[in-house]
Amino acid sequence: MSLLIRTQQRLLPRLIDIALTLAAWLGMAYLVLQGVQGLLQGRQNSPRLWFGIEFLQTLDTLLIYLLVGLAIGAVLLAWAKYNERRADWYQRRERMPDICERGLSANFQVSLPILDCLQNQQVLILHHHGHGALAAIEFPGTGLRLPAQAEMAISPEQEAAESSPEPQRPDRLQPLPH
Amino acid sequence: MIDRIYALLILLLVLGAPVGVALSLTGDVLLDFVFFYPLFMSALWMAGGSYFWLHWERHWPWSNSGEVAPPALAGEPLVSILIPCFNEGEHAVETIGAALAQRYSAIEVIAINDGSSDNTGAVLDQLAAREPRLRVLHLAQNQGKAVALRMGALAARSEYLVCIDGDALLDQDAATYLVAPLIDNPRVGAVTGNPRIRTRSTLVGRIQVGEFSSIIGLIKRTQRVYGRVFTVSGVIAAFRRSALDRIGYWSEDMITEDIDVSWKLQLDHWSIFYEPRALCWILMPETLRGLWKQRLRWAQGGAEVLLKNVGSIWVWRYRYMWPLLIEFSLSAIWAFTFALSMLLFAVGLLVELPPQLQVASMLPPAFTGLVLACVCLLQFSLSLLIERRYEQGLARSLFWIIWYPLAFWMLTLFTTLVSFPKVMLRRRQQRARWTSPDRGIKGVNP
Repeated sequence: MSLLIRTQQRLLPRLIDIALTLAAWLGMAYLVLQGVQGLLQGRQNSPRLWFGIEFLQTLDTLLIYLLVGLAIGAVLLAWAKYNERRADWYQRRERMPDICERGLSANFQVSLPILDCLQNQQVLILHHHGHGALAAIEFPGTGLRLPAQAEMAISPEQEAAESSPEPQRPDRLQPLPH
Repeated sequence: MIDRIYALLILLLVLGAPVGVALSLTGDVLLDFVFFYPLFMSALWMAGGSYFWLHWERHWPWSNSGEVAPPALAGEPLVSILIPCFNEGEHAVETIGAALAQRYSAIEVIAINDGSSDNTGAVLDQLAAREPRLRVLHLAQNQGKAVALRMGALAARSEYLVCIDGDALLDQDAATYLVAPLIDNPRVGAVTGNPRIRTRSTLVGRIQVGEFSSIIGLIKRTQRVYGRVFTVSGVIAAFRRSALDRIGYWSEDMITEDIDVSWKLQLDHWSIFYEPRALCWILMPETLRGLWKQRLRWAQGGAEVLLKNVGSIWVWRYRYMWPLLIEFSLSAIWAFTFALSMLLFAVGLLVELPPQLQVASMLPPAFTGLVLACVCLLQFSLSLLIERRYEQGLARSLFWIIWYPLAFWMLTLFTTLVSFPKVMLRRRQQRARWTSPDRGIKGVNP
């Protein structure tokens, strides 16, 4: 299996792609040349950063580009270093316990037996309410549909039989003991 | 109601700020912002990318051929790989095959068929019959990616969820690299991976190779250095289920559930890491139309998250998220400023404008053009230096990378112009559904 996909295109589109890209490189070369010419012709035509402060306009524009760029980088790096130092004394969050089945069951509004089915059946069909909450699960090939809140489950003996490729039959499902 | 007021205020701000600046100062100031904002953002990304590389990444062992083993996962926990699929009949075998081929053996793969109308269901059932580690959930009706992922999280037996798209191919160690930081760092709620583009047939496809390496990779590294990430990659990310449970999992009404879940996690003080070694090979649009649709959706998603959080984020405990929101807002203002500059330039050709509103030329001024060109080349070179170890022959894409500044900033411009008013004027409350993306061109008939 090849990871990269290079579908062969017709010659004309390929030539157009290459021509356009060459033109873009020429455009960039033009920008560079224009800049160098501007430098050679003197600074009177050169635009400047406008900060509303008169004295900045007397500074060399390229120097300002460089300084602002470096300042931005320096702020980020200083922040990163500060965070590293802070990590040494900062009270880290304790590891939270993994979400338990009861928590999942409550948050998704499904009963524990249905959650057990969801986590153990290999293939299931899920039905939803209009607002997106799980309404029911269905066992493929059986037509058996259980509401998400159903207190029904597969008994332990039948769980062992789950590995069987046959679809679950409705009569294998038992109510949970209360 | 308060949402509507915020939406109106945001729209007034992004529309009014450029106009106000032009009226109170000059059109040249607008143009300065148009040219300097990308320039200085580029400086920020290069600084962040360089720091990430020098401080962390270069010390991480890596081999493209798989000779370097990934870190051992403490306790060897089960990892659940969730794959929501909508009309993925064509790609499901490859995607699930790559997921099952992880070198880390304690995995289960859960494919969620979200009411596909093609043969996805049949393909998944056939695969499940052959592979006990694959489980399949068929959603009877199409519910959208967020609900599909929620069902996957519910059915998963693991605390660690690796989520990929139905047309993405996981690298053989990607799951391990994604889950290791979750195990080692209790504060980490999600880890985002490194998507690599497979579709390279057209100019549009090849430009994105450069874009993903040169800009998205650097942005992710910079945001990681800063400590907050604007978004995980929806196509490849791992989550801690207990963290998701605290924030109510993925939202069903957001057009880009990945941006939203990233914000929800970080607002709940979970960290998000970036793991460049977690490679995932993805299909991207190869036509302009496809690219436009995809990027418009992304821009809309960003605007939705801005609107959702702008009212509640200005409290001290969320201060670390402020720069992300400000940066996103500045990008939007930049787009509207650029549009206003173009408008003033065009109108100025037809009628005499007051001096302060005149925009003489839309070409970058002399020095700025030179600096823009040099900064672009510098950014290309830096990204190549950092990313080349993940993909052999990446330098060959350098020829096409020239388009990236234009493509990235022009796409940002036009998608923002369209998406912002769309989101702000019409708040969507309905469920976000799948749209079939462009996944590259097909071969020509002989």
